[in-house]
Amino acid sequence: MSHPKFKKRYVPGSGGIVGLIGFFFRRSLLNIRRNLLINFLALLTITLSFLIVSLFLLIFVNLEGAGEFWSEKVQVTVYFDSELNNKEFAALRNVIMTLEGTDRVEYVSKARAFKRFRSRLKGQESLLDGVPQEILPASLDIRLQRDFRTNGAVEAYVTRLKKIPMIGEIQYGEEWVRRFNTFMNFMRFTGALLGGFIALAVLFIISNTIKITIYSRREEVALLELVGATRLFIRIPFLIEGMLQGLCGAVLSLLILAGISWEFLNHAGYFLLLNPRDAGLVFIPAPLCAALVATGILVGFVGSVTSLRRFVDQS
Amino acid sequence: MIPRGDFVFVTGASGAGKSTLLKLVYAEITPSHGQIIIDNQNISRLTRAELPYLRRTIGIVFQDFRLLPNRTVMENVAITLEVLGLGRKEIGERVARILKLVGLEQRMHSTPRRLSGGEQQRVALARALVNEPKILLADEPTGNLDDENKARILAILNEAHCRGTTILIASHDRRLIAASHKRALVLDQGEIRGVHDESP
Repeated sequence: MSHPKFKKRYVPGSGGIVGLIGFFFRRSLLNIRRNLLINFLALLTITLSFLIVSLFLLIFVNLEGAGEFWSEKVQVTVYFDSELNNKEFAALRNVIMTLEGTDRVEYVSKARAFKRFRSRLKGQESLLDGVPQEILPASLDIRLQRDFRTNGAVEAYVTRLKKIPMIGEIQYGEEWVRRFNTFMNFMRFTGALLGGFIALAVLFIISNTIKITIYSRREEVALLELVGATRLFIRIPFLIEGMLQGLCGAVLSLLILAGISWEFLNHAGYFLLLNPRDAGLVFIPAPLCAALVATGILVGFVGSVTSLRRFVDQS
Repeated sequence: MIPRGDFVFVTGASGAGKSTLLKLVYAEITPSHGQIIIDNQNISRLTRAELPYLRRTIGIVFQDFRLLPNRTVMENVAITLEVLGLGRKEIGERVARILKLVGLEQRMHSTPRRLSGGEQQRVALARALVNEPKILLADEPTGNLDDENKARILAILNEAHCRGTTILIASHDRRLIAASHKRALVLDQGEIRGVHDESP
């Protein structure tokens, strides 16, 4: 039943939806200013929590990058007793390129194979003195596409390759491929598990931090209700505050990590044997950064909603 | 029944139900039986969404003041107007006016911790009156105050009453009730046992 005498008399922030958003946004900023210490501590906690997540992401992204680099080594080599002429190579190359999974085909002549072998014997090239250049067979190095570098995919590819006429002996370092893929799978599984635990712990910390900021203001919330504040008037600024805390925490953590990462890349060469600049280290890609910031906003929102449900809705 | 514009005390021993009666009026609790009717509206039937609009017509002075310790006097009083969504300028003017009325214009930037009990009580009164409510409820507004402060509070309440506000005060302070020359309902175990009418 409606009671007209107690109907709304005034709409906060008159000026449509934009005015309303502006009104609540200003109230949120005012609330943050009025509770500066607790908000600062909450922001610090959220930033540090996100720093753990972003550091984990940074390490994981670079390990994946290293894995990607090493997976380039997964290749199939086809050996020939005699050299192929240009025509034969072109014909064979065209057929191999039609095989699903082929990325690149490269011909290695006997002379080039010998030269490559010699270069690998750094400082001990004299061992090959007197050895004829034709001792090593000519070959085709076939690099596989990214999705075809797993154990099963390589084996299936080799089976299809064997059906092509002129293809003789094939080697693809079965043991190395197996070990490499086992390592990569282990790393991804451990990363997902560890990342999951870290994410859960961080969500728990952030959600509880926001809960504490709302809990510390429960007297104010109770008073607001008694002086006639609507539920929206109480809830919306808290939701905006939660989202702002999540947003700022995530952005700050990324900025801090970017700073640390930059300093590491510039100075690690002094105390590490490798120069990290040459090691191909990268920062967290932009889409992942955006996802992290979006998560911050979402966690702030959800943390506020659950806390408000406890401290406001049940009062 | 309390007529519009009346000034009534509710008195009785501790535990008689004075504070409970006030809580029933501002709908912090709901009656187990019976009805609370304000302006011909049964407030038990108000929805949660309608409740804030009832409370905006009622000014409340709590026994423990319920001032926010980390806010200034001005901010504590302004909270009643902020929930209405009024502009900063209007809030500032109205708060300044009411603080002048209760004699606290010099303390508007102090926090409650720096105020005496009497001053804190006047801040609570200012917060309740700044919205010019139809009804003012006060729970032991002069408890623990000296005579000078009691007289001051009574004067403020009388002034609000003169402006048309209906006033209901829970108090066991017989001297205050006698000095006010107003009607007093005597409560005992939640029921009205008598009426003392000392109005002239």
